[in-house]
Amino acid sequence: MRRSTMLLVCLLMALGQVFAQNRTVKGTVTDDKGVAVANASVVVKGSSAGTVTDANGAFTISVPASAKTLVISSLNYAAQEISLSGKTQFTVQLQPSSEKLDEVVVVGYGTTKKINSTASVSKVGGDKLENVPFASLDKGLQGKVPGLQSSGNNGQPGANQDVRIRGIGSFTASSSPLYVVDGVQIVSGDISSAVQTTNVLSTINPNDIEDISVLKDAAATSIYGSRGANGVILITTKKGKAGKTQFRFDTELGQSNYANIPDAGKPIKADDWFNLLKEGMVNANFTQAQINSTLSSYGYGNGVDIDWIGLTTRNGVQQQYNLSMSAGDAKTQLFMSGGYFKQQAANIGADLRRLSGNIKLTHNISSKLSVSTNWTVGNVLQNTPLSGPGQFANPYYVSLTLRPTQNPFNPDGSYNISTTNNLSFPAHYNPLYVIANDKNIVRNTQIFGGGSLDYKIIQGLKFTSHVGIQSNSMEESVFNNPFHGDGVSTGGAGTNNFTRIFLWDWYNQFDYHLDLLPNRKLSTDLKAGYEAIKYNFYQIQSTSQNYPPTVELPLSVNAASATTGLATAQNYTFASFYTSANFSYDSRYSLYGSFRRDGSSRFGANNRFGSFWSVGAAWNVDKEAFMKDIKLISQLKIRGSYGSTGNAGIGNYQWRQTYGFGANYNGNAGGTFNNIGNIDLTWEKTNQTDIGFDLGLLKNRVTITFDYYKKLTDGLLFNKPISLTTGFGSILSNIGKIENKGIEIALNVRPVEVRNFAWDLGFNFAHNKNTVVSLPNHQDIANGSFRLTEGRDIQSFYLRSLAGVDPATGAELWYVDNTKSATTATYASAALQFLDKSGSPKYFGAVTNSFSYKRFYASAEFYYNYGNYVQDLYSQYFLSSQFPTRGKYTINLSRWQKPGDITTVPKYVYGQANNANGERALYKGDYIRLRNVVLGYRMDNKALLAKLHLTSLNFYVRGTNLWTKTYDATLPFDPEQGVTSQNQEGLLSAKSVTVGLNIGF
Amino acid sequence: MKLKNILQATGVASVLVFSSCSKSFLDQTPYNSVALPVAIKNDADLNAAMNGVYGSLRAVSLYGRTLFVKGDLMSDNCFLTTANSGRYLTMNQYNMINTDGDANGVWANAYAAIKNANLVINSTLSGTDNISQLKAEAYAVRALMHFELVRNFATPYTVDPTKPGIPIVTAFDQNSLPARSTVKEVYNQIIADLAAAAANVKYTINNSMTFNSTGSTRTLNSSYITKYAISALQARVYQFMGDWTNAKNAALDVVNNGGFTLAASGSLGAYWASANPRTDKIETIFEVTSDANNNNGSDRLAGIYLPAAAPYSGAYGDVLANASLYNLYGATDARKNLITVGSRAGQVSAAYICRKYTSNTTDYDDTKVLRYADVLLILAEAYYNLGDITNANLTLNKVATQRDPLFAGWNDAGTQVLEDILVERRKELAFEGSRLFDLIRLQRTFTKVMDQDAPQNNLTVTPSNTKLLFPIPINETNVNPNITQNPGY
Repeated sequence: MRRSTMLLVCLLMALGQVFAQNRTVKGTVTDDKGVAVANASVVVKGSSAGTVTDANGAFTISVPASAKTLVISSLNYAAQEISLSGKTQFTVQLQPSSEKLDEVVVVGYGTTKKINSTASVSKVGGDKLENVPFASLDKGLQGKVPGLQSSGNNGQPGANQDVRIRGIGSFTASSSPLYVVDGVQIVSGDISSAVQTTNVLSTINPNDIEDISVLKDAAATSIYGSRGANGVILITTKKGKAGKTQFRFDTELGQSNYANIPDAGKPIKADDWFNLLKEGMVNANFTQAQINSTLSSYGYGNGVDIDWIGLTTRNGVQQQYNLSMSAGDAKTQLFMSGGYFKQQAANIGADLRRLSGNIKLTHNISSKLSVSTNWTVGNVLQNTPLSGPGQFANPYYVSLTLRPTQNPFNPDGSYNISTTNNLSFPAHYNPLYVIANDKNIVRNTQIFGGGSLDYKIIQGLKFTSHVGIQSNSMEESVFNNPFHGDGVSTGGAGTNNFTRIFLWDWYNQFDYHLDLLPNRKLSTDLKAGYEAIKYNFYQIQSTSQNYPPTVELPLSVNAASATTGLATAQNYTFASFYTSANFSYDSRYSLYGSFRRDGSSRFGANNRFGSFWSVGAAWNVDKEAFMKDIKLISQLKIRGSYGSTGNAGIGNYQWRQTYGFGANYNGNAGGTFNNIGNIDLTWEKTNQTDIGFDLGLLKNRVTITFDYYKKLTDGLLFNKPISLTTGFGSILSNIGKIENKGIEIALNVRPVEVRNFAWDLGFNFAHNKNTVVSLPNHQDIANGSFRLTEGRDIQSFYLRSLAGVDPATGAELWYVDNTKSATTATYASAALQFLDKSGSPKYFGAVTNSFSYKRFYASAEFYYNYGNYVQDLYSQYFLSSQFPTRGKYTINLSRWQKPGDITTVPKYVYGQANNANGERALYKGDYIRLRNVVLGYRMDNKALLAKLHLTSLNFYVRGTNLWTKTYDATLPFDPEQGVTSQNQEGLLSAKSVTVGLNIGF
Repeated sequence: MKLKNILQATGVASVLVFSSCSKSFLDQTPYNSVALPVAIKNDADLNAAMNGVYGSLRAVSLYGRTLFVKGDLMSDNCFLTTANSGRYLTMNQYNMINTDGDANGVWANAYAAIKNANLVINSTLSGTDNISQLKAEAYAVRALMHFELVRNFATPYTVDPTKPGIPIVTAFDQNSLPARSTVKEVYNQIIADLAAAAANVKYTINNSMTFNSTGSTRTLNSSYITKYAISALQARVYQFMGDWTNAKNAALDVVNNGGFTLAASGSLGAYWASANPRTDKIETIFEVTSDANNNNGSDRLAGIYLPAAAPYSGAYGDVLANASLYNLYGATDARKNLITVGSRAGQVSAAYICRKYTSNTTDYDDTKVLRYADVLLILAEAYYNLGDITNANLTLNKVATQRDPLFAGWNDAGTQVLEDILVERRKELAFEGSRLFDLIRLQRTFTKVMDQDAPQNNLTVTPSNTKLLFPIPINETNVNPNITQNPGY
C-alpha cells in the first residue's frame, strides 16, 4: 500500500515536471505555391507528440524543453525537419514529393512504411466512406478496391452484404474476408436467427473510421494465418490529434426510392393482364363459358387497376447527423463522436435507425509508456419485413405476384383482408395490412472496445499488449398478426429470440526497429507476438402462438401457448504465435518474411496446429542511380510475394465425433451417434503468388498499381461420400482444390491541372478466373442451379439449354442434349448441361471523375460489372403461363401470338408448366451504375468563416445509384444480386438524392 | 518500478493464458452433444440411447411412411392418383433407377438405425435387468432393420437363399466397404439377433423399469420392444423363410403367453384412431410412436392417403385403394369402414380413401409394426403348411369372425385354405405394407391398377419383374466397390 502511494506521488511529480517544462510553438504550413496545407502532421522528433495543421495550415503545439526538432509532413510532400532553437513562430514551406517516403499503411499488427512494403494492400481513406447513405461500410467499399467484390441482393437497410476478395475460395467453408476492427478479429456477417437479414457492420458508423486497409496477397494476409485466405479487411477508427480542439459536424439529408426495375420486369396493368388471361384460356381450349366465368371471377370490366409496385414503395427518409471532437496535447489525445443515422428502404416497412458513439483516448504516461483505450458503440433498430424468396409477406415479392385486379382497400377506405374470392386476397396477402400490423424488429447493441499499453523498452524495442472485445446483444421480435397473413392459421404467431456474442482478442507483441550498416542504410523491423481469441455465443429462442385478438401486443407474454423455448450456445478459440521481419536496404530493396503458428478449437485433434508463412520482396527501381535521368518515371516499385494462408471458416465442432440429443421418443430425450466427425479435419490451405508494380509517371500525375495473383486452395472441405452402411452418408474432409487467378489495376491520372481547375480520373479494374481443380472421387457435385466439375468455374450454371421459340407453333424449344443437334418442346426431355455461363463476373471495377474549380468540386463514380449471368429463381410465377392468375412481367406482352412471330416469349397457354426455368431464366448481368455523384462548394473565405466562428464549411448535393444501364433487354430485375447472381426477390435497392453539410469549428 | 510491475503482471498473465492453459483453451466442447466414447455411462444413458434408436425408426423413409406405403402401392392394393404430389411415382410405375430417392432413403435410414442400435448393443455396460432389457430391444431392432433391408433389396429367401442379400453391420467402422452377404447369411444373423434378444429380454408390456442411476422409471407399452414383440418378429421372419415349425412355435408363444386380444369389431375404428401407445395389449404388439413435438409433420403416414381438404385434413392424398380391395370386405366387416368412398380430382369413378390412419396434428399417428392379428394369420399359415387344416381354419377365423361378426367363417380344404389366408391377410393388413411381400415370397403374378378409370392401362406384374426389388442406391455403389447391384438396374 505504502509503496503504491509513493509510486503515485512519484508519477504525479513526474507529470507535473513535464507540464512545467513545456512551451508553445506556433506556425503555418504552405505548399511551394504558398497555399495553406491542411492536415499536415507536426511531430516532435523522437516522440509521438504531435498535432496537425488546421484548414489554414496553422498549428499550435506544446513541446517539451528537451525537444530540438519538429518534423512536418503531409501526403504528397517531402517531410521537412525544422530546428526549434529559440524560435516559437515558424513558416514552413513544403516541397511536393513524388516519393511518399513517409507514407505509412496499416497492416497486420501495426503499420509499415509504404516504400518498404512488399505486400499488396489497398487503403481506403475514411473520407471515402463517410456521410454516404449506406447503413454498413461494406456497401461503401463497392468499387473502391480493385479485386474486392461487394454485392448485395437486398435493399433492406442493414442487410448482409457479400464481400469477396480475389474470387471465391471455398465451397463448404466461408468465403468472406476476415474483418479486424482496431486489432480485434471480429465476427461479421448476419447473426440473426428470426428475421431475414442483419449485418454486424451496420452497427459501426462509417464516420468513425480513420481508414481501411484491404490485405490481399500472402505477404499481407499470411500473418493472419488460418483466417487470412479470403483476404483481410482492417478497420481503424479515428483518434484524436494534438493541437487546438476541433469540432466537426456533418449532416446529410435526403430521400430515396427504388433504383432500378427494368422495363421488361415492370408488372403489367389490368387490361393487358386480362388480355393475357383470355388468350391463355383460348390457347388452352377453354370453353367460352369457362372463359367468361373465369374472367368474371377476377373482376373483368370492374375498372380496378392497382399499381402494386407503387403501393409497396415510397420516398424513404435518409438522414444522418454526426458530431465529433478531436482534442489533445503532446501527452493526451482524445476523439469523441456521436452519430444518428436513419434510412428507410424503398419498400414499405423496412428501415434502420442507428445511434452510435465512439471514444478513443491515448495518453503518454512517459516517453516510454503510453496507454490507449477505445470504445465504439452502436445501437441499431431495424424493421426487417420478410424479404426472402416466395414469402407471402415480402412486400417486393407480392408486388409482383399480386394481380392488378386485387383491390387492397374496401369502399370505406379500410384494408381489404378478405380471403373469400379472387377480387380479395385468397392466396397471397394484402401487403399493406401485413406491413402495418406484423412486426419484424431487431434491436442490436454492439460494442467494440479495448485498451492497449505500449512500452518502449529500449531504443527501437517496443512491447505492446492489446486487449479488445466485441460484445453484441441482439433482440429479435417477430409477430405475425392473427387476422391476416402468416399468423392466421395459428391465431397469431410470435418469435422472440435473444442472441449474445462475446469475443475477446488479446495479443502481446514485441516490435524491434534497428538501423544497421553505415548511414543506417539497412532498416530492420522485427515483430513477434502471441495472440489468443475466444468467442462465446449464446442464444435463447422462443416461439408462441394463439395471441389475443389485437395487433397491439406482439410480445409472447400475451400468447396463449408457447411452442418453442430453448437455449443454445457455441464457442471457439484460437491461440497463435506470429512473427515477421522486414529488411530494407537504402530504400531500394526490401525483403519481408512472416510466420504464424495457429491453433484452433475448430481443428481436429490430429491437426490442431498449423503453420503459415510468407516471403515478399520489393525493388524501388526509381531509387537507382540509372533512373535519375529518366524524368518520365517518378516512381517504380516492383513487388512479389508468395506464401500460405488458411481458411478456418468451418463449423465450431464439426471435427468431433459426437453423441447428441433430439431423436426423442415418447416425450423422453433420445440420443444418437449424430456426428461422424473427422479427427483430421483442418483449415483449407491457400498458397498465393502475387507479382505487381507501382508506377508513377510525370511527377506522379499518373500512377498505376498492377497486380497479378494466383491462389491455389488445397484441402478444400467437401463432404466425402462414404458407404451408407456405416449409418452416415459422408464425412467432411479436406480433399478438394480450387484456383483463383487474375489481375488488378488501379490507375489514377490528373489529366488537367491549371490555375483554378483540376481534373482527376480514377479507374480500377479486376479480372478473376476461378477453376475447380479437384473434387472428391473426381465426381461432379450438384449445387442447386450450379454444378461443380473439374476444370470449370465454381459458379457454372448447369441447366436445360434454351433453343428459342418455334416461330411456327409458339412452343418453347429446348436442346435435347449438349450436342445441340435436336430440340424438344418437352422441358423434362431436355438434358441438363453446362451453358458456359457463370454467376461470377469476368471484370468489375469503377471509374471516378473528379473536378475542382476554385471552390466548387464535383465527382462522379461509375461502377461496372461485366461477364456474369444472373438467374431469376422465381420467374415461373411472373414470366410463365404456368401460374396465369398471378401478376406478370411486362415482357410477356411480346409473346408469340401467331405463326411467323419471332420472339423470345413462347405462346401463352393457361396453366402450361415449366417454361420459365432453365436457361430462359438466365440474363446477362452486365451493368454500369452511377454509384455516386457529388456537386459541392467548399467555403474558404477566412473572414466570413471567422465571422461565423467556423474553421471550415462545405456544402454539397449527392446522388446515389441514380442511373443504371443494363445490357439485356429481357432482364426483368436489377442485375446486382449478390455474389451468386441469383435473384432471391430481396427488397429493391435504393437510389437517393441527399444534401450534405460539413462544418468545422 | 510501476512499469516493471505492469510488465511483470502482463507477462505472468500471458504465460498463464497462453502456455499452461493452451491445451484446454483450445479444447472447446459442444453444448448439444458429448463425445461419443463417454456418452453412455449407466442404465439411464443406455435408455436415452435406446430412445434414439426408436426415434430413428420414425424416419419418413422407414416406419414414418415409406416402408408402409411401398408394400401396398407396389401391390394390387393401391395406386397413385393422377393428381399427385410427385411422391412415390417411380414405385407406382415400377420404373425406379439406381438414383431412386426412396430406395436411397430406406437404405440410408435403415443402416442409420442399425448404427444407433449397435451403439446400445456394443455398450460395455452389463449386469442388470435394465441393461439386459435395453440390449434385447436393440438386438430386436437390429434384426428388424436387417429384415426390412433384405426383403426390400434382395431375392426372397423362399426363392433362392444363396443370392446376394445385404451387408450385415454389427459394429461401426467408418472405413468399411462391405460386400453383400448371402440372403441365408443375413437371415442367420437376424435369427441370431432375435435369439440374443429373447435371451436378454426381461419385461413385457405394462412392466415398469426403475433406473438405478437416476431413479427414473420407464413403463413399457406398445411403443417399446417387449418379450412378445420378439416372438412375433421371430414368427414373421420364419414365415418369410418358409420355416413353418419355428414360425408356429414363435406365434404360439405370443398367442398362448402374450395375453394379447383383438379389438372388438365395434371398436376397431376407435382402435385405429387412437394415437397413444397402449398398455392394454389390444392388437398392438409393437408400434413406432409420434407425438406433438416429435413427428413427421405433413410427411406423416396419414398425409399420403388423406388430402388436405376437409373433411380429411391430411396433406397430399396421393395414394388411393383399388376398388377390388374395397369390394373384398363384406357389408358388415368392421374393416370396410376404414375405407371411405369419396371422390378425387381427375378421377371419374369413386375414390377409395384409406382412413386407417387418422390425421391428427396434435398427437400424430403411431404406426403399427407388429399386430396380434398378423401373428394369428402367420400361425394359420404355419398350420396350413404343416398340414393342420383344422387349426389353420380355426386360427384364421379368429381374425375373420372378430372383424365381421356376421361372417360364418372360412371352412375350405386343400390349397384353397392358403388362398383364404391370403385374402384375409390382404383385408386385415391393408395399408400396413404387407401385401407386396406376400405376393413376392409366394411368387404370385398380380394385376396392378394404374388408373381406375382406364383398366386398359392395368399392368400385369410377374415375379420376374426386377423392379420389385429396390436398386442398391448409386450413393452406395459409387463409393463401395465391393457391392453388387441388383439385376435390372
